[in-house]
Parts: sequence; C-alpha cells; structure tokens
Amino acid sequence: MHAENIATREKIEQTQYWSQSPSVQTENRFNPIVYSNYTSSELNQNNKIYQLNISWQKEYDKYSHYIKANQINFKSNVQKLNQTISRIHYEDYEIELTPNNSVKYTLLLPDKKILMITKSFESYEDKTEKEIVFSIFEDKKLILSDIKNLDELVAGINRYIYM
Amino acid sequence: MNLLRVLTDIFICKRLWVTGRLKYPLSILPKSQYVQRINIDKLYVDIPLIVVRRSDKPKEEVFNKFGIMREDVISRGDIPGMSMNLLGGKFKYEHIRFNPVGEAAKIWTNNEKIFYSQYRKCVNLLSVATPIFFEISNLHNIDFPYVRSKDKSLEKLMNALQIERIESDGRFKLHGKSSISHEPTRLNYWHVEFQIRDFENKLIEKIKSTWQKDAASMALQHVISGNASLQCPYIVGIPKSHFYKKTENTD
Repeated sequence: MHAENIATREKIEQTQYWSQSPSVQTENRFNPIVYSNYTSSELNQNNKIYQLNISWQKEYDKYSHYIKANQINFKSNVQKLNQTISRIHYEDYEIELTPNNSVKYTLLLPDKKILMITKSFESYEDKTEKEIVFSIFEDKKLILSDIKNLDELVAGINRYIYM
Repeated sequence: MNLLRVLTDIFICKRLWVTGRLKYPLSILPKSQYVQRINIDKLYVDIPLIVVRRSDKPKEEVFNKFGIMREDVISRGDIPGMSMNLLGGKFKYEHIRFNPVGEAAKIWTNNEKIFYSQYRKCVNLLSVATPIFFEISNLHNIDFPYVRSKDKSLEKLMNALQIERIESDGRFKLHGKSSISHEPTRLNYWHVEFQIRDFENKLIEKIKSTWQKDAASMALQHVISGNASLQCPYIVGIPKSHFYKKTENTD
C-alpha cells in the first residue's frame, strides 16, 4: 500500500514536471541568474529533451506493461538516453517502447534519411553499457546497420550532417 | 478411388459455392503442375517482388508517423520462419483474411493432390487483417548485426573461419543474414517464410538461446520494421516459367 502511494505520487510529480513548459522547467531547476547565461542552442536542447520526455511519457502510459525490468531504473535510464539523443540534429522524431525490453528512437535527419536507434535493456544490470543498435534508411532501403557506442554515434551523425 | 475423391471434392465445393459458403480462394491451392519450390534467388533477380504479411491490429496501431512498423506488431518469437505471402502469382493481398491452421498449414510436399473439402474446417476467416507489404529485395540476403557472449568454442570457430573478431563489452559483434524461402502449404502455394541465419550461415529455426533471441530482435528491429510499408508499392506478375513444371506451359 505504502509502495503504491509512493509510486502514484512519483507519477503525479513527473507528469506535473513534464507538463510544464521548458522555460518553467529550466527556471525550476536552475538559478535564474545562471539561466540567463544559457545560449539559444542550449535552450533548444532543453526544449528537445522536454519534447522527448513528453513523448516518452505518453508511450510509457500506454505500454508500460512491456517493461519486464525494474520500472524506476528503466525510466531514469530512458531520461538519460533522451538527453544524449537530443544532441543529434534531427528534424522530427518518434519514440517507441517495445515488448522486448527496449526503446526505439526513429529520427528524421535533415537530408530525409531515417535513423533508427534501439537501446535494449535486456542485460539491464549493466547500467554503464552505452551500446546501441542503429540503422539508417534512405527511401525505405536499409543502407547501414551496426552496433555502436551511443556517444560515438551521436558525434558521428552530427559530423555527417554538417559535412 | 481417386476419381471418386475428385468428384466428391468438386461436388462439395460446388455446393459450398452455390450456398454462398465457399469463401476461400481455391486459385491459391498448390497444383500438381507446379514446381515444389520457387527459386527466390533466381526470381528476384528477374523481377521486383512483393511479399505481404497480415496483422490483426488496425492500421493506426501498425505504423508510426514515418511509416515505420511498430515492433509490437510482430512477436520476436515469430521471426525465425515468419509466414508471409508472395504477390504477383495467384495470391491477392485481400486473401490475407484467410488463415489456414493445423493440417491445412502444413508444408505441401511430394506434389500431394490437395482436396479443399478435406481441409475446409481448418481455415479461420479474420475480421481484422491489416496488410503489411515488403519488397523482397529489402529482406532477401540482408545483413544484420547481433552480439554473442564470448566463449572458447565460438573463438575457435571464428579463428577457423577466419572471421575478424570485433569485441564489445565482453561480447563478439557478428553479422547474420535474412532471406525469403518459398515454403508452400497445403492450402496456399504462395506461402513464403522469412528466415534468419547466423554468422556461419546456419539457419536459426527457433529461439533457444540468448544470442538467438538477440539475433531475432535485431532482424525484427532493423530489417523487418524499417522496410515494412502500409501501401503496396507495385505488383509485377510472376512469369509462369518460375512456378510451372513444364516449359510448354510458360509465358
């Protein structure tokens, strides 16, 4: 009963937090003096994290029964993933929770290629693991697919976009 | 005896047709003039091919806004040997509503003469059947990555096969391959299977271990899901020479 109350309260707090606008979130999290020093690109990234978190919450509300691992750890890991994914210069995105204990990001890149990133939480205990599977599609055709460290992938994709 | 059976089958089918109860498309049954297996390798080089799979979910729940298929549409356990249907022959995508099960879904072998009346009770008619289309060129002979825990016998095998060892977090990074194989069933000659093979080119028939689970996930996530389409891009007729035994019957 007690655990259930905590879980409910946590969910309400998270929903309230994510339903705030990014600027309010930022104000709540950071000192306004520090906040005023944020550049437009940093604010843009905060906005992207906010959007990713909102989408993730919607997906989670609908498909949380797919998660077979510890849900609290799973959620905090996805939030970390959202922060990293937000660094990619994509135009549009979609988040999907799969029945196989994984989260899939579908990102539309500026040149209209589709980048799909899947993070599996099957080996959930290994929290430091940043290995993901990615695929790139052009006109529905798979042109590249591999397993890579997420930070390296983000850097590589951004390098490719600005080439 | 055989003639009697043929006549009985014709009589039952006619009676079902007259009373409006014959819904199954008899045109998709295997015929004795057909070859046992269509050579997909040869066929897909000649013409662009489409395969279709059904989902029992409505289309809004099958695809996301980019037209990428959601992964919960297909179970990972279904990936090795997943059923699909080849278009361009007698199978029309509307036929996906018919789901042969049990004896009717067994593989057609030895040019067995098929009597529909014998299997008519082994067909389910589905109320929701959303078609999911794939171009064979996007599924056949496609590499996908997967990982497998390091062990001595795997290391030995990789050394023997002179496969470059790429390690990541104590696991080997390997590449499997997907393919389409023609596997006609008793009530559907146009039935094909999506198959996956490991780095040794060995067929993965069922998921029995963690690495096989990983390989099936990878194939689902990155080969199947990304290449699925809501709309049929085209249908090109398959020349009879690819599925009729005798050359005089060819186009």
